[in-house]
Formats: sequence, structure tokens, C-alpha cells
Amino acid sequence: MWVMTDDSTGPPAPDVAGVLAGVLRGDDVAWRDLVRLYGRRVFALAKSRCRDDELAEEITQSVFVTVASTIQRGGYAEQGKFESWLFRIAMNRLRDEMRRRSRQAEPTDPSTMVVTDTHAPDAASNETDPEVSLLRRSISELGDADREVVELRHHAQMSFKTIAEHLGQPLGTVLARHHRALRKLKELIENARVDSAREIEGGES
Amino acid sequence: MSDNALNNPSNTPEDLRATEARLERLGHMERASVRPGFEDRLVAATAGHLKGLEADAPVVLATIRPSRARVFRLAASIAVVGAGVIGSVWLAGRGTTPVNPPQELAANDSIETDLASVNSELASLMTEGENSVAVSDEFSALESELAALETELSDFGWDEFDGLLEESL
Repeated sequence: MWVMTDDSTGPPAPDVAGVLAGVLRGDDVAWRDLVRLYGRRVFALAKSRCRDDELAEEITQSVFVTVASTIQRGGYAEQGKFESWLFRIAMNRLRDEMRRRSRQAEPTDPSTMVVTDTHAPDAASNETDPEVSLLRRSISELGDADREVVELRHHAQMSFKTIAEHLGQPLGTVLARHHRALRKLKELIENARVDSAREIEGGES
Repeated sequence: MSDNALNNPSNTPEDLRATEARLERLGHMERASVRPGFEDRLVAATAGHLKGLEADAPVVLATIRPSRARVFRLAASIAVVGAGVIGSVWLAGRGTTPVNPPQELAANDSIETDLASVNSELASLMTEGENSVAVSDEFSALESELAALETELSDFGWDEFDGLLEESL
């Protein structure tokens, strides 16, 4: 059974339950379908945090290696929560990587410090659209819990119900957190625009 | 409310819909930004693990090598603490008076004190004796009596002794 993804660019995707049944039997075709179903979603979640295409792909690969190895060892029992399990692996892997990078990034010599222009386009993704850049920057200013809900919902395309399962929180809490995050993002974007307009006015006068 | 209804953007408050739509576009853009051949590479790198054909990544035994500055800090800390401990032990051994001194030392001190007091008394007595006429006369009288007793003893002859012996027998 095949269903359409919400990404209109992609081909029809196979049914999750059928794919998982095939994967648990060790079926290569089913594994390929699983990668098509979830690969980009894991990638988008990783890229949202690390802002690096290559690293995001490495993290995605590492997540799928863990999934395949665990299934091969019989460590996964299908209970209808595969998506929650997959993205838990992804978030843990992502947090580990971000911690490792933050430790490596600590400068020991002041002369090696580089001043980062937070208003500059995202160099790693060649981002030139100021609106996209502003939205990314605003997401990074959210608290960890709010940011996680936003990324799981809009980058990983998880339903609110699955996010609630994933986080182990009531559905109402997840919905409230999502609304709060949207409101905070709206404020951040509006404030940034006001600041930008003032800078322009200041420069002209 | 069903899960689908919950996920419907129309359930979002109107003033937040534009922000949500931006996030949806961003998410879509990120998912579409994979490099060409992404899924093929991913399948090629992971499919073997599903069949157990590829071993898990080898365990890396990492050795944490401390930096030079850290070694110096550690050495300095050990030196300071060590010097403190040695100094404390040395001072403790040097400055403390034994609570219970040896008995020999206590006895010696006592004898020395007694001797000193006797000597001083003797000296004062001798001085007094030499300077006192009365004491000198007394000495002379005592000497005379001593001489008389000696004479009486010498007069007490063997005959009287023999007589006393016979009486006792």
C-alpha cells in the first residue's frame, strides 16, 4: 500500500506498517522504502541544529545504522511507535554531536577567536534569503523544549500525537508549547524587523 | 479532536498562521536540500547492518592526554600540598612537650632541687658556726667530754671484764 507524503516533490511513499514488517524480515526493498520515508526528515531535523549539510548527512547515516543494527539483533519490537523511537535516536545522536562540537569549538587562545556576525547569511548552507536566515536565527533563540517541538513538528513532520509520545508528555502540553513557540517566534521576527528598520533609518540620517 | 484535525494548520490561532506557514516552508526547504543521491548513499551505507553483514563500528579506546599546562598545574598542586604536609609533621615533632615526661628525668630534677637546697643550708650553717663564739665554746665542751669518756673506757680493764664474765656464767 502506497500513500503520498506531504512533500509534493517526492514520489509516493509506501505504507509504514507494511514497510516495517518487511524491514523486520530483513527485506532489502523494505529497507530502501524506510530510508525514503524517513531519511529526509531525519536529515532536516539534524540540519536544523548543525547547519551543515555534510554533518547532517553523517548524523542521518549514523541514526539509520543504529536502527538497522538494533533490528538485526532483535532489539526492536513493533508496537506502533517506530517513528517515536527513530526520532529519539536522532535527537540523542544530534545532542551528542552538538556537545562534541561545542567542546571542540572552545578557543584556548584568544588570537584564534573569530568574531561571528550573527546577521550574516548562513555560510554553511549558502543562505542568502534574509527572511529564511531571520527565521532560523529566531528558532535558535527559542528555549530547548520549545525548539524541539517546533523542529519535530515542522522539520521532522511528526504529528502532535507522536511528538507527545516521543516526549512522554500529555498532548495538551505539546500543543500549548507549540503555540507558545509560534508566538515567541512571531515576536522575535517582528522585533528583528523593527531593529533592522531603525538601523536603516539611523544610517540614512 | 482527531490527530489529523490537531495537525491541521486551520486549528492554529489566526495571528500565528503566518509564522506556522513560514516554518512549514522552512521544513520543506530543509528536506529538499539533500545532496543528489542522498537516499542511495544512505541505503548503501546502512543496508548491510540490517543483515548483520557489517560489523558495528570498532570500539575506539581513547586515551585522554592532559595538556602541558594541566600537568604543570597538577605538579604544582602536589608540590604545595606535599610541602605543607611535611612542614606540618616537622613542626609538630619539634615543638611539642611530652605530656608524660620520662620518670628518670623527673627524679633527676627532684634530686637536683633537693641537693641545691641542702647545699645552701649547709653553707649558711657553716658560716653561722664559724662566726658564733657560743657555738665554738659548745664545741670545745663537747670535745672535753669526749676525751673523758675515752679515758674511762681505757681504764675499764680486762680484769673487770673477766669478773663480769664469771658472774654471768
